[in-house]
Amino acid sequence: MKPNSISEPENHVARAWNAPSRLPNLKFLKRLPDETGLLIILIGFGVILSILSPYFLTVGNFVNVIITMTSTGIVAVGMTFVMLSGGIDLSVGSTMALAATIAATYSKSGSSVVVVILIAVGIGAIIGLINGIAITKLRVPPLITTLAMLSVARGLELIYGRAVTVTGLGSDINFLGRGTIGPIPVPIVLLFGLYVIASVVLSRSSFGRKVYAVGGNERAAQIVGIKVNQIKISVYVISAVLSAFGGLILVARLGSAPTIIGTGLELDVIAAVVIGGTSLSGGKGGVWGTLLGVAMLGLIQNTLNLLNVSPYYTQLVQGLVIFVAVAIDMNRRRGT
Amino acid sequence: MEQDCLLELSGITKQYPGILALDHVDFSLELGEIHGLVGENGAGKSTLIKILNGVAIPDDGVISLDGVPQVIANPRDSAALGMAFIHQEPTLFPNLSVAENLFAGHPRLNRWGLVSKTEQMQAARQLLARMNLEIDPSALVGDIRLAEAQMVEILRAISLDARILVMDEPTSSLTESEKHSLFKLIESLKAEGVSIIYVSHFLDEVLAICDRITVLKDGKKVSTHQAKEITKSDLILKMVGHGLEVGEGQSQSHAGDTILSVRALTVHDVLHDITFDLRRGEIVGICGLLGAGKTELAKALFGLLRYDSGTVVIDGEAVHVRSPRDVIRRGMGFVTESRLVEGIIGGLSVRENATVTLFDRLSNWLGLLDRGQQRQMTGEMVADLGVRAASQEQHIMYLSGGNQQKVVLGKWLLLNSTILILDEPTRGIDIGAKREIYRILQRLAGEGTSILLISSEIDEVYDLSDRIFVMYDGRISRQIARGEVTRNELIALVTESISLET
Repeated sequence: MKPNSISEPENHVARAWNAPSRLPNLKFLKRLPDETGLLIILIGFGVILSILSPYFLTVGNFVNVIITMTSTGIVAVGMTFVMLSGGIDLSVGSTMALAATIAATYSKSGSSVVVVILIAVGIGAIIGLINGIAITKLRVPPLITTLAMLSVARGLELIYGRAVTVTGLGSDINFLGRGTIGPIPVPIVLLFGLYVIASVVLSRSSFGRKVYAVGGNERAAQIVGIKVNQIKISVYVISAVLSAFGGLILVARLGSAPTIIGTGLELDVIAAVVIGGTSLSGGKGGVWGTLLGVAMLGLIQNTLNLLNVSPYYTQLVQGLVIFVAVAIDMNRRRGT
Repeated sequence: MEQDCLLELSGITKQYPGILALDHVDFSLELGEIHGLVGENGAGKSTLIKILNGVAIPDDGVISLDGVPQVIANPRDSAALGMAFIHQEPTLFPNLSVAENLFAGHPRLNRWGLVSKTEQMQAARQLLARMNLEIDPSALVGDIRLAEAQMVEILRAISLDARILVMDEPTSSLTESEKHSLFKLIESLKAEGVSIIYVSHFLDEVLAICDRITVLKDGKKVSTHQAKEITKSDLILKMVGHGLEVGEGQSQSHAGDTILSVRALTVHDVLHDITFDLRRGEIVGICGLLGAGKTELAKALFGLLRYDSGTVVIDGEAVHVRSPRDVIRRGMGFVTESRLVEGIIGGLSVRENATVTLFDRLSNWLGLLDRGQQRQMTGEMVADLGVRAASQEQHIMYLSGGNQQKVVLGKWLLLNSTILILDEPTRGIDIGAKREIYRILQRLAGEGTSILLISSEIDEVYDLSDRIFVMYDGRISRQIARGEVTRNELIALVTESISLET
């Protein structure tokens, strides 16, 4: 909504500070987070599914869905940071592939899981740094920079791995993908832990609020003394590091690092973030919306599986859901 | 008189949830008349314009054109009745030429049904010549000046046979000489029988160019006057209900020792040899035409524009200014000329906009922000500056311009800035909020804050400043002490851009 169009009524209704509202009930509704709508759709989805397929509402199925979506979910956290800052990162899939392949090779040759994690994360950090520096210092637009990186990182992965799937990984890495802490699978612990941390960082920390400020108005952020370039480089590093980490979890779960790992991942991840309500132009949104977006994608795949629909339909349905979600969101914002 | 009446509104009423935006307003526009519409923000001017434009539908009342009642249900109806709207910022295509813009939507076609560029160019040239405008029809609109673009927009309306032009704050971004050419154009239009509704905050202009003036207040029509028969102070009295002169009683000088000292600051082709001192508690006004280098000076001082040579000394310490952080750390704050583009951060709340300069200071060792302290500081600032908002958590986008500006100013005050650079701090805000901001500035200066006040409003500079710098062509062409020249002499100095110093 344009500020002009409402400025006039605003002047009249300008109420005293903290004046009690006459309509407390409505106020409560307004205070519900933006994600409520999506959550309701998800629950509705779930109810219908549980009627259609008795297997849907089983713990086994849920764990399965979450584990399948773990890597996407982890990468989506990084993408949320990037998109909140007003950027985009198309290189997440290739970054995942490069980091996972190299890390898997080290694991195969006997490196410990700690070393393997450090290698993966280090590769991610370097790629993120290159993206961030290209975007801030060389002023190449994020779309182009990360599109180039998508190709470069994938190319490096193929050259390094000679397009052969890495198998026979060290056994200690299994824990990351298949281990459990108590009754809970490790990927699930990592996934939710990451979302909690990211949520606190984004909503409560100085760094997180600066990410919103940069995405909301970069010029104004610069003028109040925020190190805009530093913030931007940081979000690309976060994105690439989480892509690498997500790749590692995937490899650990699969027990091998196939060459095609992460292909097309950027689309799923961007879709999840956008479905989750994070603005494409930056400054609005958050990770809980993203988590719901990831859940939505997982649920679509699961549904088609359970209903024995050909996997060929997955992409079609996913595309439609993304479109509908964004269309609803745009109109809701413009409406009111 | 009555038979000449072109447009007549009677009993127009518009109710929005919670407010009566227009309450039985009558308004008439005669053929070839320039009718001024004035009032504070929220008086109902924009609602009235929206109703004429078909963007808002009145709940009650009759709009008649040439004596025939009309229904204006959408902008298309409005255009069909021969009404055109000129807003503050031109709505043109910057990537197309002047001629293409003039005929956008109804291009001149040749017999193959293709756009005839030669014919279009010729028609454009004729139209420009008819209005005595020297604008190159082949130039891209993005390359011409804002004032010229605005005139192109007016001509586009004329080429569409508009009979009624509604101008909403057309001069707010124009320099004195550009305003002058706009007024000449308005005179030519009037001579051709075009009627104009002229909405503006600038009462001097309204008094100078309008035939009649209607005052709105709180959604009601207060009165309509022949422009010749009313004075500015009477007009203000009608608008606000109580009298005022801007900056009533000039502020007293509290100037102490030097806090900012600038020597030979030079930015190639933009600023030349800028040298001045700013003392504690002093308000220095900077005026000059557009392109004189006022904003550039502010940006260079604030690290947003690299300077090639010169020195900046803040509080006795030489500073090489390369980024805003270099000077923010030393107590400088900057309120930019464009509030929406460079001032407020749209997605964030009032609280976060107010404390955005303090994020680092208000976070603990984990980097987590102390919201309680944010709230407390914002609360104090809001009370101190009289910001009107529903709550601290309200998105800043939904505040009125004046309240947004107070928050933008307030964030520097929360940082205890001792040197404030204000670039057009009252642009686009209503008289009431302006007066409040003037009072805040005077109080701050009294408390020892030094202020560089850049403004194209001569009155504001004249009334508030202890000293005034006139800038011309990237130089400070004249430094004037309080009381050294009269208001009119200052206007002459600025508009004629003649350096009397030499």
